[in-house]
Amino acid sequence: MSIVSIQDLRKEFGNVTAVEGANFDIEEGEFVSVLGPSGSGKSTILRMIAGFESPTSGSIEILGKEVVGMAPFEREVNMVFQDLALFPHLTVAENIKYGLQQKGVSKDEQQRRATEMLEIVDLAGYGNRDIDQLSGGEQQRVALARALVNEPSVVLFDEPLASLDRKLRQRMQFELQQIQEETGITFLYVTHDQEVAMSVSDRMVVLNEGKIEQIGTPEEIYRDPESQFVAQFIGDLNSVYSKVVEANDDTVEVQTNGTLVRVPVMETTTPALNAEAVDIGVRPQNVTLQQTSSNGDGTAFEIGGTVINRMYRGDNIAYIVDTEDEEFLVIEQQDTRTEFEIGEDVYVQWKTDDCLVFPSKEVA
Amino acid sequence: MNVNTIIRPLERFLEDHGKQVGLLVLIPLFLFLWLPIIVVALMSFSDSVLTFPPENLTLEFYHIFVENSQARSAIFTSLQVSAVATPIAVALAIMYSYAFAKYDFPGKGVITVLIALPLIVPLIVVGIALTLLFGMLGGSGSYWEVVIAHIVRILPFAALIILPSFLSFDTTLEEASKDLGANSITTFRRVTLPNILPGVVAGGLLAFTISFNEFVYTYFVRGTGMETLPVYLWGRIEHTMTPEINVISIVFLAVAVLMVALAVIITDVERITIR
Amino acid sequence: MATKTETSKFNEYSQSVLDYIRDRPRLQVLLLAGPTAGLLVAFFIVPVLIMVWYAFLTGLPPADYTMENFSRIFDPLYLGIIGDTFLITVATTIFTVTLGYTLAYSMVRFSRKTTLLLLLVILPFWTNYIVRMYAWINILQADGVLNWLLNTGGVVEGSQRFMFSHEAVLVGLIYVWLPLAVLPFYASIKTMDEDLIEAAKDLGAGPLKTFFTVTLPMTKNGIYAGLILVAVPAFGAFVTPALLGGTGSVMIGMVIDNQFNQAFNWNFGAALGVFLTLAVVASLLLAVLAGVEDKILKRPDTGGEN
Repeated sequence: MSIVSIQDLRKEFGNVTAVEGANFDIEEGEFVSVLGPSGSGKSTILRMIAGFESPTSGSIEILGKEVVGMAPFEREVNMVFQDLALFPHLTVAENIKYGLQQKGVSKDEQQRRATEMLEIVDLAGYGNRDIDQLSGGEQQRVALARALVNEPSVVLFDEPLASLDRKLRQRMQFELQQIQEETGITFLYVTHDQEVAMSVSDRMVVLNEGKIEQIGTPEEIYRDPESQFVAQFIGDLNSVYSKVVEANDDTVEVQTNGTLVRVPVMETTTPALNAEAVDIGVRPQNVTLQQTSSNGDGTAFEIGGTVINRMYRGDNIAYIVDTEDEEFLVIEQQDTRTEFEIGEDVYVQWKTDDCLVFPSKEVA
Repeated sequence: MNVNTIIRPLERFLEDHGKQVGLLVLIPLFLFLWLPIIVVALMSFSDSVLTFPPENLTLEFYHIFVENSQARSAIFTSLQVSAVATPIAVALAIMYSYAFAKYDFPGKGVITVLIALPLIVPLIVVGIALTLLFGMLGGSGSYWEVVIAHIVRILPFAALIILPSFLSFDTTLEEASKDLGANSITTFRRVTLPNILPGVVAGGLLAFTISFNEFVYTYFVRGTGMETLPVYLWGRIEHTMTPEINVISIVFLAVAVLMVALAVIITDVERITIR
Repeated sequence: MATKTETSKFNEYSQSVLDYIRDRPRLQVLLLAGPTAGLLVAFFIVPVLIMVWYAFLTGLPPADYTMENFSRIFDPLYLGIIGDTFLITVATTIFTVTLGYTLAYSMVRFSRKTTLLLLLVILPFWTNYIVRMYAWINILQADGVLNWLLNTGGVVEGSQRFMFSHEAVLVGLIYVWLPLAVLPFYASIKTMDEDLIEAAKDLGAGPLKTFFTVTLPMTKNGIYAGLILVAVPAFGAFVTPALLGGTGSVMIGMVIDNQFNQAFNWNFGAALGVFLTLAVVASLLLAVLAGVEDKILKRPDTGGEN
């Protein structure tokens, strides 16, 4: 049985549809991220699971029990709020015990579990401190402990790490993963930050404009994005508009630089086969720059252009190349190839195997 | 557990219907606040004093009020006092706020407490204390004594409303002005004042309202000749209930509505509610 | 009319004064804050000190010193009045704070027209105090609104008066100070982080428990402010008891008025004024101490850890 099961979930605010036709399940012990840009409806889904918003239609089951219509305080889920929402008038320990008090847990048991929880989040001995005496990272841990101590079926996270600086955020991500493995409690993590989502989650739910675009493991979503939105949102993507010359069973033939190339199309994006034009996408890491044209042999794409910007980035160099109709982002590992200068004429090349084919967004 | 069986359904009820309960509670509370004022407004058109409901509606009391020279001169006295006390208090409040916002000086905390004190000490205490002072100085409750009493009364309010304007004012604008060659006075006139003006005007309007309504200080300090409108109203109610009381009440109500409305338009409601 | 040279001379002169002041920040402060401080010292601090002095005199100065005026306060007659004043103040404060908090809470949490409602709360406050008392005379008077309502409802027969009682004074004081009490409550409830309420509910607390364990403690400072804003003026009230209480409900303020304007015993009046001031100062100190104590008790064993 799934811990959380969401079916046909829909939420309207007046005329605006914030969430539409959302379906997904979360299994016990999973770490699932809901990823999407701001306004994509990810927080709304979270707040519906917590009970702060009621869905316009659809169902939310927690441990097989329908929870739509239940008040937040009647649900067996706990949330780590975006701004943490720690009670400033209570001490660290009092914050952690708050949920247990509501359940009517005995004082001794409250104390025991709070102490245990403080150890798990590495804050042993901090129980009597005031919230405002803690650093940002310590406050994050208290918020986590306050949710975990109730042993909820699922802990919901509303982008709590967003306010931390990069270093601290990465450390907290790592700790979060460890604590999740340690306790075995199911986590549902909402974020707009693909880096966070990729690094912590077992599975990701990618949202756009209230609709789920794709569900899968971070690898699946990065390697086989089902839509151009997903491909662009998870990592960088260059994209070229191409007219389809001929479509076959699992390939399309398109023209590039005067030659015809045959590009494999993934199963998930086969609608592209019936399109008149496609967008050919490629990740910047998969693109190379050449000084001379290699006069295509049908296995590679090639476009001529001029280097207009060059950014040194430590272990690699990023180039921006101006081609006829697109600007290309190219990331070259620093050790391997020759360096190019701004203003130099170059050829942008990539293998057909690295292409991601999507129905074109541009109207032909 | 026993407690929970009672509380749980109640909590559930409040979760679902808390908003309705809250809005329902607002109705009697706002009736309590406004019914008395509505009654006074209604009674000003009555043909009898203090008998409710009025038998006939008439404008007769308004005629009596307009033709009563004593009431007219009370209004005139009130205006004479408030029109002088208000600008003085506002000017003092501006100067003080400017000093408070711009400088750190010894005794800053003491002066701040000093300004807030008249708000905390009961009115009647300050009223008699001023009476004793003026008595010692050989005064007889003349115009200027009443004006001074009014300044003491309204200065804290004016300062409390005007000070936030100065605290939120970006002082780098002044530095920019001086950098561009303007002297202190020009800078104040052309840069500082326009930015703090809404707060100052709101403070002035409300200070005027308090002064116009001021009773306790005036009542103790005044000599026989100084009868402001609130003092006149008090006399009518205490001794002889005359019909024009209702109309005077309407005058005060109108002044309150007008001044608060103006202050709200110039700044916003939360600003004029103090602290 | 000043000629051109005179004007420029004046400008030159004022410029040199400005130059003199510019490098002397202390002088600037003195010029800016001095008049306010001076005015308040001369017409607030000095008068209060004179009042204290009068309280120890047998008559108008020059006169002998005496404790008579203070010992007279402990006369059963005045002790009774002080007791009544105290009880009315406590009752007024409890009612006003409860109603005011309810009002502020409902306005902020449940209404979408919060600003309009706030305006409707403060408008009565800016209406003349005596007018507001007169409104209640209209209501409580024989043949007044309340009598009419009760007659219409068949509760009482004939003309009945509800004035000149402790209850009338109580209602009058609640009415006068309710708007003022709403303001600090309104501010503290409005600025409270609403996420905390969601957090409490998320952790299993219903609306009632959330209110008592989170909202109420979080708005504690606003409540203290409201308590003081109501209790202090209620304790020193004299217009309300004079108009609505009369001889049926005498408060200290009325006695002071009587000593000054009828009995002409300014010394005893001054002694009562000193008593009133001390009572207010004592209660304020108590409130401050309570606040301080609260802070110390909250962090019993965190010392040295940070």
